[in-house]
Amino acid sequence: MSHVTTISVRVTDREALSRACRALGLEEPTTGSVTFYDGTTHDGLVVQLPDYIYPAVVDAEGYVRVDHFEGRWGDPKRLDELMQRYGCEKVRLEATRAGHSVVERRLDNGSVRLTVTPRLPEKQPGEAVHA
Amino acid sequence: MTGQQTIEVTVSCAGHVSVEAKGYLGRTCEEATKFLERTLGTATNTRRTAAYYAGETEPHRETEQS
Repeated sequence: MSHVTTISVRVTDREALSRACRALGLEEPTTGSVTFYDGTTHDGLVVQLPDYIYPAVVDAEGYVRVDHFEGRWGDPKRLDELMQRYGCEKVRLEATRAGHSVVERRLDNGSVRLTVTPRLPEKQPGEAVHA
Repeated sequence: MTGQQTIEVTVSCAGHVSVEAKGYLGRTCEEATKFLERTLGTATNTRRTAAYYAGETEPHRETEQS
């Protein structure tokens, strides 16, 4: 390897979010606003996570807002699952858009490994043969 | 190039992502992974390995003329 980069994911791709929701059996995200228990209102893409009292909201900068009251009003693992699936779908989308192939597999520790094989560069046309 | 070039992305259970470029020499790896790093979010840490520096010459040093 030549370098390793750690990335803090932001949810900025609605298509990838929709795919993640479908993969997890959730309703499609909708545009709207949610008012949490403390009275704060958040606008963005709304995702209803299973058993959450307040839906999650993805704001305009891609940050996910939740109010699960330390797990009492919704299991934080459901949010983790959404974030993991979003990361996978985003990688798949971007790699496919770039013409690369992707192989996905789940590791024993629950992580998902996506191996992206870059598309080979186009062959340059050979020189014209002149008679 | 050192063998097949691949990009390995690991997405943890909590959705944390790490991107590794494999089989690249020098700075070509950064070009190869840029499309992911740019679109996934914000890079919080980058660790470069020996392969990254392969083929680099000694750093050029300016010398003052007297």
